[in-house]
Amino acid sequence: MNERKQNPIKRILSTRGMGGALTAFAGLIAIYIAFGIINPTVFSGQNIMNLLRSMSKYLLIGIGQSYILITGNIDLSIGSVAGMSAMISATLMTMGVHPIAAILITLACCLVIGMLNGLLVGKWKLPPFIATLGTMFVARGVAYIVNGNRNTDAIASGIGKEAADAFGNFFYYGSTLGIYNTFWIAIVLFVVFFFLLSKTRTGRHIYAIGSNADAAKLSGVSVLATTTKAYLVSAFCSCVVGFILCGQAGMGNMEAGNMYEMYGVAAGVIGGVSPLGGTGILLGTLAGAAVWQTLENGLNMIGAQVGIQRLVIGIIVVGAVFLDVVVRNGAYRKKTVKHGSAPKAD
Amino acid sequence: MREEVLRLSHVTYQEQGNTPLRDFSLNIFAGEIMGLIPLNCGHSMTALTELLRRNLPLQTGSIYYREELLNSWCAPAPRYNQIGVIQSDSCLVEGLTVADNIFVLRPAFRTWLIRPRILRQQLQPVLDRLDAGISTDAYVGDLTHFQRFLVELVKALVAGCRLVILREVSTFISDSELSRLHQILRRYAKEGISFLYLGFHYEELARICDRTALFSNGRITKVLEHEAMNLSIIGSYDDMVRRQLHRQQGREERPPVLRVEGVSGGAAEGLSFSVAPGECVVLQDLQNRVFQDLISLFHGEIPIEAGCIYLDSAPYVPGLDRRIAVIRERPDRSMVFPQLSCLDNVGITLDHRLPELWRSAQVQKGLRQACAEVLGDEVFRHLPEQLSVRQKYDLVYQRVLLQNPKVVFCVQPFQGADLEMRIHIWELLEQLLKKGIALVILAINLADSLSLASRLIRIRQGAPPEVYEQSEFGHIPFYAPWLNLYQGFK
Repeated sequence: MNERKQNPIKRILSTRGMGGALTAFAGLIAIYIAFGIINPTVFSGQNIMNLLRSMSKYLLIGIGQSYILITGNIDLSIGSVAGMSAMISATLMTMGVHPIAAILITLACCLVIGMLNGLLVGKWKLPPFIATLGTMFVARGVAYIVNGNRNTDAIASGIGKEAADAFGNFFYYGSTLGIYNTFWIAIVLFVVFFFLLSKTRTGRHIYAIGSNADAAKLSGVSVLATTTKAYLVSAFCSCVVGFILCGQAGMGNMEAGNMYEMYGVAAGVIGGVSPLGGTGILLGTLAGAAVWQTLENGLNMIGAQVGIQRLVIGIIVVGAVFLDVVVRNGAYRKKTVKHGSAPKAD
Repeated sequence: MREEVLRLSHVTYQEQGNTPLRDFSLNIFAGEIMGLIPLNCGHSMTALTELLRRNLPLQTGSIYYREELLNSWCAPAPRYNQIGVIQSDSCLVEGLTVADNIFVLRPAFRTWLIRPRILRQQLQPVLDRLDAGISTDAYVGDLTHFQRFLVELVKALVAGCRLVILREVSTFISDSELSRLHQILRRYAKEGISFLYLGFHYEELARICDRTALFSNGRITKVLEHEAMNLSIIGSYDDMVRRQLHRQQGREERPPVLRVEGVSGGAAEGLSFSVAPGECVVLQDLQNRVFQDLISLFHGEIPIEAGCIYLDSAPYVPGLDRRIAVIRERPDRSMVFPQLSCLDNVGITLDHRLPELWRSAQVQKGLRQACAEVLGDEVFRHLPEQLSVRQKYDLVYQRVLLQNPKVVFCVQPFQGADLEMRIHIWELLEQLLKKGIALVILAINLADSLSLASRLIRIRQGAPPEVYEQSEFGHIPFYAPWLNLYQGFK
């Protein structure tokens, strides 16, 4: 029997995916305190600011990847799209194009990749792993070609030092209310996409196709439109990360965003977004991105070798997925004990 | 004059070279519960459901829903009709709440922003009226099958459907829930909602339907009013049950081959039963919760928490053991390997008897010849997907016969089968029994299984199982078909 009237806190806590998010937050606090005890510099204000700025990239990538994971798909092109974004915007600016125009043109190019992913997966039913593997190479190829197979010059050479500084400050070096703009950008986009996922029809459709695509189809949900929207969100987030990378370097780097797709998966999965689709909330992704960055930062601060850093992070990702599988199986078992299993009808 | 909700007039519909509906005429009035029993054309139910839902192009005839012509001869309509369909394949998304499933996941929902409080206020009174303990905020995955069924019903009604198609309801909700459901359907019918109740079990439809149409070779052959529905209509089936009862009478007592003693694990609690070679025991799960876990217990996927299992008088170690076979429901779809050849399909579980099978062409030839005598040689000239439903059933049962297990678990063997197919499945099950194989039928619906059974065990959560020997079938204190045949039968 389901409880009829729940108080709001209970209702929030019983939201699907909240458990994973809270676990990730708990883990974050534990890791942070542990590193802080080993090296008190971890608690310094400047380190916290740097931490917030660095995690913003992972948060944005994580948001995009979480949208895709919730639909039951994956997007391997995220990192390459970020690289493509950095290269196109930087190339345009070195050619003297106004930064706003460069941003809009780059955004359009990235959304084309998102649209293409959506069509390949949603319309032509290509396996998402293969489809986005293809677009990953396409986007990276564009990143190489756009400036003739070499990194760009400094963007200041095209648009002037003042405009280049403004661009760099807006996306990376500047701060508002004492916090770096990069973090503000990430938080604003987080709020927007959190709202879109949890409070709108589109959000429910995203969960629906990840949970049971056939049932969603029978309920009048357009799998194509919903999948495409999710890939567009992913492409948009990657594009913004590309701008951040461009702002940080002050130029376009062909290898920018390399491996970011995997960081996105890790941020989502650590935060309780299920790689099997249908479950997860962006609050978890926020926690996941913070855990990831805190680990990197903390291991750096205590002087751990790069190899050790990778090893620890890898174990944590596998552990998070393992936890998801165990929780799912446990929930299924609990459910069957409580209610019984469905007679399988094909 | 009664309002006509649906009219199919001389409809002929073809798909992939078949004609599932041929000169098919049917009308349903407002507030009517109309039954439809396919006698020999179970696949036509799918065609009819899809036709009503999606307006597929017809060869001839016309379909009117609420006095509006639906179909066109040239192309399917781009939209779905406002006709609800509830079947074992749920249309609900488990990861979303009841309110989301009912309001948000429907084509007409255009509101961009979701306000859970308003949805809750609108929906809770409707759910309270059903008195099934369903909360608007509950996740569908946490509901029972019966509650999910009711959510689908409410979803259809909220979407404005005046006609709801109910398909093989008794295959996924239990007998006691079925009686409750019938009360709910009757209440909605009084309010003008119409139902098309599709099922293969005449006796189930006779309990609820105002009229029932018998459907044979794609055509309606007879429409029976409620008063005219009695078992004499399906006399040949009656005779088969009688024959089976007499056959069982002559069966000699043998020691049990399988003993399950107080086994707990998963959803099973203190389960006990035994079955002898050539004997059939029916386990009826009144809450539809034990089947999957029982099979998982035997396969070792769920640990046995308490109790023991003995097979052939020795303790049974759970695992994949060829002495135990499982035939799932709808084996034509769930047990056939479409990518393998028919010979591979038959011989896939034979490695313990014929270790040389996959190495020796001669052994394969011998197997093919032996099977061809039963299945027909043409079966081996086709891919499994090209076989008829009946041939696929034969293929699966032949595989089990060749495997020669001690015990076969059959999950809802008659699910989805029309009358003709049910008789054939019956014969296949009899073959297993004749060969001395112990048969355990896992059923929700008793309709056909009871007549094969020597014993019926009804399982209910939190209560000791009820055991009825065959001699007691005539006096069991609940509804079951064919009970009249057992009365006075010793």
